[in-house]
Amino acid sequence: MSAHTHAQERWATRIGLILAMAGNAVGLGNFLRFPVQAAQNGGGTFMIPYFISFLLLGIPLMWVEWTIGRFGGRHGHATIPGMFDELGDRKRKWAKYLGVLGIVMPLVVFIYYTYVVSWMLGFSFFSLTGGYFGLGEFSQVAQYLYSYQDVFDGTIHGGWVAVAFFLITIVFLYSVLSRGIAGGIEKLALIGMPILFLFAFILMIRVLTLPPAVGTPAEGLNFIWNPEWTSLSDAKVWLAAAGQMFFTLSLGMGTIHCYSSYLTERDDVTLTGLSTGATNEFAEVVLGGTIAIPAAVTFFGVAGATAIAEGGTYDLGIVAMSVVFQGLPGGQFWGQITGFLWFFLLFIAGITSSVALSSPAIAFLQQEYGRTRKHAVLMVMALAVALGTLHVLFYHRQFLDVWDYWAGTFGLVIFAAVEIVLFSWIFGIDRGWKEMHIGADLRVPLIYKFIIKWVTPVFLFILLGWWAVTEAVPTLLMRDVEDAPIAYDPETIVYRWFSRLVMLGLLALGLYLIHQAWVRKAVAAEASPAADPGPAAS
Amino acid sequence: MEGSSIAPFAWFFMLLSMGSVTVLTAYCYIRILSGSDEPVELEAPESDVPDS
Repeated sequence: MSAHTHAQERWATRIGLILAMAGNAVGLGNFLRFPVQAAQNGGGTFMIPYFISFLLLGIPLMWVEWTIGRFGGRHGHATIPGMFDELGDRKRKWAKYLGVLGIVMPLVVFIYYTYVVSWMLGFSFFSLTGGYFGLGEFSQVAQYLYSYQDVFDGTIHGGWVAVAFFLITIVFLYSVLSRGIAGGIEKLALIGMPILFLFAFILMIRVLTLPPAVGTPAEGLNFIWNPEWTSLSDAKVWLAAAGQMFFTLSLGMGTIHCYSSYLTERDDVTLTGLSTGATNEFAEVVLGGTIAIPAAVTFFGVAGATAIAEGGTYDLGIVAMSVVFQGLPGGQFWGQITGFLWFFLLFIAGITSSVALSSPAIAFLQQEYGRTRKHAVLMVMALAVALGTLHVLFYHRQFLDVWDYWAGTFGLVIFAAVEIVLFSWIFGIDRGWKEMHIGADLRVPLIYKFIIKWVTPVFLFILLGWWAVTEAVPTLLMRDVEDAPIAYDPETIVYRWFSRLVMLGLLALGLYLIHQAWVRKAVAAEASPAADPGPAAS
Repeated sequence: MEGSSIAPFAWFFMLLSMGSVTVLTAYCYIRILSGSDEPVELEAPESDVPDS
């Protein structure tokens, strides 16, 4: 039954698939996180570990994830538990349970990420209506944002405003996702991605032609790209580059697998996979590197932009840019239009990623529990509203930070380490290599066989070990350490524990649902011995 | 370096980085466009395709 349900959905065109995959990868991080990471980690020299990570981590993992996804799809699986079960030849009963990471992590990220994406919709609206125009000063615009984020702070926005934009975003997602792969997700990508690139090009040209103010656009480019050679000997810079590669290519999430499962067995994954990675890199390095930081440096100078960037990506991408739009030549009208272009660009970048993040959970409910697509989408959206409300209520209590670190940062590397071991060592690199090249339009250089088997796993385990020692353990124990991923705040400890418990509850629910799904398969197999839905659950 | 200019090494890294991702992207799309962009097959996959 599951194979039959899955076979009904397919991508309609190759370009639609590439744009949907690129939409999955191109997100807020391309335009907000990358330039800040580059500027803070050595400028031009950051690109050396960045490109090495792209070659040794990004590209190989991308090919592996595309291959696992198509392989799983051929066996009627669109989600990780079934795919891992197949990679283990259905003999290793534990493999499917590890697949819980590929359902729960993207779901967790989907819930908080969609709330953040809804801010971009809100600020698109505020730009068009001139909501923040006239505030002028950075501190006043910052207060405008913080009031929006804090539903208990009614000084500027009513508490319902953030909730309203969150619900509008959820309704929009429902309308896209309920139309299916070709009718919803692919159409969104075919319309949204060209608009995203058009807006980004317009903004890039606008920023690079800004007249000098406190600084100049050239100083902004110099700020990002000027190398600090000593940074190359700093392990943190290499780890930051590797981490950025995970975020930017949406690796270790389960989303690439899910999208790839809708390919047919003869569809190419090597050239198509490389194309989506390249599209993402173009959006990040060329477009992401020439908008926010050069604009901020022009209006605030190098020292001002540095201080803003240290305040976080939202201070840079939302607050600083809102100040910039108010000071653009040509008056308020063009400022409002430019502001809309920027925030709507971020909204498109985010919403296409949100669509991908929700897909594994939806596909799991469809396949393993026989739900119709609309019903599955409705269930996931209802969960997103219920748990997203916690983020709306407790954003300033670090509720979101906990999920972002464990699911959206550390969890990605754990998932990637599991999948590369399963693919290269349990499934076997020789089988994997053959599988990758079925229908391939691009022959992958043979050196990558060695890289996928040895280099990428070693790279991942070093990354995992380093993060575990330097970040994960202090964060787990909620210690007050310098440069902790979650800033230490004793007043939020109850909320952080609550946040952890909710996330662990989701993980437990995921494990239970996987177990039950395999029990159902075993019962179905006993009732109909001719069918072969898989072995009994352990 | 002068305040409003870009340092030579900054130029170098910027052009090299932007150039390499642009060339890679162009290469991929040229390869794809020189092939065919026919609709992906709509029939159900062959469930009996061997794994190895």
